[in-house]
Amino acid sequence: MPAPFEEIADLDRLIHEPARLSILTALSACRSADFLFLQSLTGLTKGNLSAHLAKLEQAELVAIEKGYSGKVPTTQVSLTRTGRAAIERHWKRLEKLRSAALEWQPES
Amino acid sequence: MDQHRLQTIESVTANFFFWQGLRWVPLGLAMLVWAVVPLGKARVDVVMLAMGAAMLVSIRIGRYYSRTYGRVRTIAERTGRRERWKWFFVYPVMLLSMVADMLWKPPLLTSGPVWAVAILLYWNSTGRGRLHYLVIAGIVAATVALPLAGVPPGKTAINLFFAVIGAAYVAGGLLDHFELTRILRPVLEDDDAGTV
Repeated sequence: MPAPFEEIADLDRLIHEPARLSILTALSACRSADFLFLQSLTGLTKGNLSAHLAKLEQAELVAIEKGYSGKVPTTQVSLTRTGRAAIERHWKRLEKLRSAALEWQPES
Repeated sequence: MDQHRLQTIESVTANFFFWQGLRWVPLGLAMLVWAVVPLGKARVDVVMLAMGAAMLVSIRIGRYYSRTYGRVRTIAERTGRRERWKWFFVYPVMLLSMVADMLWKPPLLTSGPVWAVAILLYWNSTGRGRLHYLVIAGIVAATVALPLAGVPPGKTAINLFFAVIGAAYVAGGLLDHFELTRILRPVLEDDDAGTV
């Protein structure tokens, strides 16, 4: 049985990257959030957030919808069904790793 | 990224509306007006005016939050249970406790502990975090002893109780806002168009 630390290498890096994990965690708690909210939550610049969202959209984890609120352009972001399943799976895996790390004893 | 930060992100996103503390400040001020204005015919007009103004200001504050921090659409299925409990159980019990204190003038102010429990339920169902609600609930619960402290039960006690609730709304709202602005950073740009 591998040590929990070895299993960390198997985590999905697309999801586990801190900024993207923050975005996906936020989106898992709502139906959708706009670009501005995600920017204020993550503290990322517009360009950086756009780049992360583009990667997540490419992997079909999020759906991006552009529109207008009055004359102001808005960008709504939501999790796809695949994205919601992926983040839930990731959370379960992290929880399992955490438990395993707490129980793990180094072989003498 | 630590787990606490991720839990905070989840709580704030799921309960974004409730963490917009400045929204509740005008309502608290209107309650203080209710408590302070002496009984009489003019009181109803003043209170109605204060409540109307509070609602208008609260709507404007909501726009400020949307412009500064963005918008979130909640998952209705997750909040349905909370809403049902709130409207069909918690609010009626809160109202009944006040009616009981007004009509029967019991030796202890029952509204105190009832409203304190309601505050704790609110805190628990809107993402916890903001620990000031525990202190506020404690202060509100302590109003149970107002009649023992020499405050005449009935209208006088209820007026004082309303002043405490009004102050609680103001303090809770301001502290919610500080907590929110600690978690979210305002984006100082005109729109959220992004470049995705």
